[in-house]
Amino acid sequence: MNASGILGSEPEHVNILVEAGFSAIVTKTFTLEPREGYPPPILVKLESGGYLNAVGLANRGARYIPLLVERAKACGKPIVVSIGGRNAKEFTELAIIVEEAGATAVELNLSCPHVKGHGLDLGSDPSLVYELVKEVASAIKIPVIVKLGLSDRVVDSSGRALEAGAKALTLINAIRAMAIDVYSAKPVLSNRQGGLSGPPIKPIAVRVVFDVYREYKAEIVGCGGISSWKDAAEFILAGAKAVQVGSALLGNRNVANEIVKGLESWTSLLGYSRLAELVGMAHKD
Amino acid sequence: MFRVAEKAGIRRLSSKYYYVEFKLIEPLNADPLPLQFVNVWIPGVDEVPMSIAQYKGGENSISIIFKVVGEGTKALKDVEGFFGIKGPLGKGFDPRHYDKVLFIGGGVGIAPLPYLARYASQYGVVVDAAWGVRGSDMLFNLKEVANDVNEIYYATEDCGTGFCGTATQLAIKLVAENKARWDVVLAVGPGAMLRDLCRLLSSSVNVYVSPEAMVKCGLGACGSCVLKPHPKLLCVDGPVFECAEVIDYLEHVARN
Repeated sequence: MNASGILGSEPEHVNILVEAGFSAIVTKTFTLEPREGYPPPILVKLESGGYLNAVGLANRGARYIPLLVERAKACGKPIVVSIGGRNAKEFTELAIIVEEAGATAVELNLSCPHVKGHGLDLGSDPSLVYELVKEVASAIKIPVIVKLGLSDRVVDSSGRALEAGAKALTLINAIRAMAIDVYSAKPVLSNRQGGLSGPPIKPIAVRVVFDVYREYKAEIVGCGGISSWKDAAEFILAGAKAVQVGSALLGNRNVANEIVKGLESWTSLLGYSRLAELVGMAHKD
Repeated sequence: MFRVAEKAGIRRLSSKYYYVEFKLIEPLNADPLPLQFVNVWIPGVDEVPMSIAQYKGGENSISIIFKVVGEGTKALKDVEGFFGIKGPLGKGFDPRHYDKVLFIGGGVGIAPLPYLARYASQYGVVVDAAWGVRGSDMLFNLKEVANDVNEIYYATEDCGTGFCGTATQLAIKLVAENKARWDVVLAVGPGAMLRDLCRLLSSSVNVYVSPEAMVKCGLGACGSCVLKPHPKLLCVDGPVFECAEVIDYLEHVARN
């Protein structure tokens, strides 16, 4: 799947993502009310690798969700709608809208690292995660995926999300970071702080997936710096059953197809017939 | 990130347009193709997409032609100090596939012409230009700014100079009166102009257009520059397109 935030806020984006070869589409995070997002600069490519972004959850608001779901259905692809609320009530309201629109699943954004009151502010508190996910999972029937970010208690938060009824976890989101321009002496992003994504965060993400799988043997969607089949393979061995690709798509529109091909070859090279047999293999003694 | 640059000079070209040259302290990550653009970061103010009007790699010089429309372009005019350049962005337009190019500029759409002409001349490709503006006071001597352009034709809607009418009307006339002279037309300007040129010229000659759209990240991530209803992003799939690729977008923009 594509990672939430790379396109995914307009129906036309769905077409672009489908053309890019993803097996399922993940939308940009939708909030109840429309959000303008932050003024530019909102995204920079870093010289040391990876990207830094503070888009600010820009989206047209919940009433736009059905348009994207419709488009994905027209393209014959499953669609996961990402939602971002500030509390259980908002998340539940959004989740119901997503289910009524006919989406395949909902992904709760409990990990955006740069918008106050959203995302990581909620996801870094395991008891809050439990409350939120419980309320959402009781209100809808479609699968609830919880996307968590790097925090000291990410393994705890993962456990509580699962207890509360999450079908799967997406690990991880971008990591809180910043860059400063040394000539103007100013932070580069208009929001000053943003989320670091891409190759630099892959080892961090792999570690989180490994720890959560070891603890809970959960259904995990691995995310964080995947740009080749080898990266995807690492996440699978760590315990991920599926992967999301974000930043890599910016430099390579064909990345999804390349990853699928590569994983197929890797599976046979190692002597297996199904990729699923390799999930979590790095845990074997 | 952003390549650091300093303003080397700014001059007013006419009542509406300015020419600013930047000296790149850090070189761009690649030599640009014509019609590629850059995002200019004015620290603390904004990041604005601008056509590359001129580029001289040997001198580490990049220039843009612009008009003041908001805070960002106002700061571009007034602010001193360090700026950031992101790019070159987009796929641009490679004139090497052609022998004779007719460039049609509407208003500030003239901006990419100087570099297009300079680049083309290095490969023996001839670039003629038709430029239309609303008021004659907006014109400046295009030959001075874009000295590699071959023939230049001006159109003014107030009929003060040159052809009396719009850039579109001038372009139609030129193509009709010079059958098979140009093997490609490249137009940059308002949506209505591009739509009309697509409708009226596509049967006689290959037409490429460079529309305007809201550009934010410039890297293909935020999707603000999507050319609805086409699944095309201006910043990575464009900014130059065949008419068929963007015609519904042009229709929509022209109507609003």
